[in-house]
Amino acid sequence: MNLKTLSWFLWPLVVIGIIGIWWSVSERSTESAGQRIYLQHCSNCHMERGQGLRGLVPPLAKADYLQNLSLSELTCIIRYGQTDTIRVNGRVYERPMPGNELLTAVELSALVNFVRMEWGGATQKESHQSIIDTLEKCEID
Amino acid sequence: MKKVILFGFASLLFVACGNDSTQKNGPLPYLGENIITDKGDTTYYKIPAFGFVDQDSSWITNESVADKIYVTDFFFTSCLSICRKMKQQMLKVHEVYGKDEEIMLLSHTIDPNYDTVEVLKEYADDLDLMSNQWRFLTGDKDSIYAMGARYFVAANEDPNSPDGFYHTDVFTLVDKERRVRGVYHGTDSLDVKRLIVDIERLKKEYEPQNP
Repeated sequence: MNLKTLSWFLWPLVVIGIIGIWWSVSERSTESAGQRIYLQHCSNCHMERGQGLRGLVPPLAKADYLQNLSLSELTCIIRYGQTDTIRVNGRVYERPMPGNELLTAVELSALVNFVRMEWGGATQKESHQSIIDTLEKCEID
Repeated sequence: MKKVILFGFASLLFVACGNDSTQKNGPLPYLGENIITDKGDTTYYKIPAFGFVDQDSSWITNESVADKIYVTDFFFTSCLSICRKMKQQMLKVHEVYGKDEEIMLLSHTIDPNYDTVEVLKEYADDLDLMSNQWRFLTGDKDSIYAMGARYFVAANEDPNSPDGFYHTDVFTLVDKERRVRGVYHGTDSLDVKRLIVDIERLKKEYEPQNP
């Protein structure tokens, strides 16, 4: 095989390689800050795609409960946790959810925006300040 | 020179895409300290006898797993870190083998003071299990930690951890003679797929040999 035929065979491989590298890099950069915080602090229980775990952990994806939460209710639950018995898509959940009181305000608002946009049915982000302002209304047990 | 580089590149691609078939055949390894006697016989490392109570207050012992291939893990119900992921993955094993009489799953709580039979029962019920093949075990704390070490799991109380315990995410595969044949990361879905492949291989070892 001479060099010219070999290079014809090789060019597609090079192109595939470049596309692969580009794809893996761009995949990483599209992961938002909110998603990173979700994966780090929430996905252990609610799972990577918000699917929850049977009757142990309520789902976030396609969950009527989440879709009906107001901005302040959601922000308060994420910050201070949840001890109420709740009903999600017809199933009762009684296990408490711990709060995330160590998150910074910036992390908290990024997370709230991520959850609302990803699963809450929101179409646009709320401003950082409007999210943080709702914290004053939280009823803490 | 150019040809050599091109050929090297192409063969690298083949290596990256190919499967290492040698690891998929033959018997699984025997893990743990195996002793070879002067006569050349091998005494394999073996899980010792045990006895714990399950979520239905039944006594689960080494007799209960006689003639069973089983998988163990260690967790606790109030765990906030890796336990839910481990249960998500163990559910995948249960979904494949829930109706298979040859296979059992044993999840040990490392917090027996809190995880009573009733608490474990509720936890198991909330997982919507399809059979009673998956047992959730509680018992004497020290015996549980000692058994953890036998299954290559580090588990103990940890006052520095927010929820009070530490444990590794290990799933341990044990054969019908209570010999350890594999350990897996129970939070890693790829490694749990490997576990299911290994269970299939182990089941084959017990099939009657073709003449």
